[in-house]
Amino acid sequence: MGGAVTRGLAFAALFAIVLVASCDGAIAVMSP
Amino acid sequence: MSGARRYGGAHSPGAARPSSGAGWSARAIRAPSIRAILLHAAPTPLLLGVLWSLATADAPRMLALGATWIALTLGAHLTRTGLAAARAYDEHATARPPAFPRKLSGAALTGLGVGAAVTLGGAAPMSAGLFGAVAAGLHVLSFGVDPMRAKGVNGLEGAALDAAITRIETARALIGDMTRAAAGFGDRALEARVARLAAAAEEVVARIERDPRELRRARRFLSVYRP
Repeated sequence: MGGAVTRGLAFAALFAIVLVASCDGAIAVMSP
Repeated sequence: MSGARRYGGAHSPGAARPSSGAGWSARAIRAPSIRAILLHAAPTPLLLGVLWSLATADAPRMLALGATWIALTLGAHLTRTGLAAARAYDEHATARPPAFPRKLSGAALTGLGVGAAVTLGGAAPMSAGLFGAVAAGLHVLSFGVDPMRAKGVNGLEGAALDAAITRIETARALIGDMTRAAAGFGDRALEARVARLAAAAEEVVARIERDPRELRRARRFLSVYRP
């Protein structure tokens, strides 16, 4: 149970990092 | 006497049914994990950046964003296939480890992709490396590492373990071939008989898997009962 919660939280953090990094890279290209 | 065959399918009354969950050939195909699908979707904003660079004729940035998107997508793909390989490894009592460590490669590519995306966003290399390392670490924490060792056959190691696993895998493949070949004839009575035979053969393989010393008894059984 504890392991599943840890894996879930780790995935949520990973998803957020990948999404924010992708947005960051894309916005930097689009901004003048 | 007509040559007509009574119509019937797999779910008709009296049709051969796979034994409940026991048969290798009867195992359900599972949907890919939601987490793996989300990991595929997360780098999508990079594609918008690629389109923008294309529209503004900024080739270097377009290539950099495209390469980053490919690294992250390939990482997600390797993670998804690595999860499927790990599930197949877990389902069998005797199994070889996957030939290629897909989940770990997925973690490395995800870390690399996040580092590259952060660098494109204007961060310092040190900061990008840190973000990449954190992403790779979270990937390992979330999805785990690939199975590394062959498992399951007591008292066997190295080449003997490899040979035992090869025999078991060959037997399972032959049982699957036999079941599929029988289904091709469209003869329900034959299908039912072959399904019973396949269930018995799978039981023999499962017993050998649990204890390879049963292999000798199985050979004796075959030499006595095989027509």
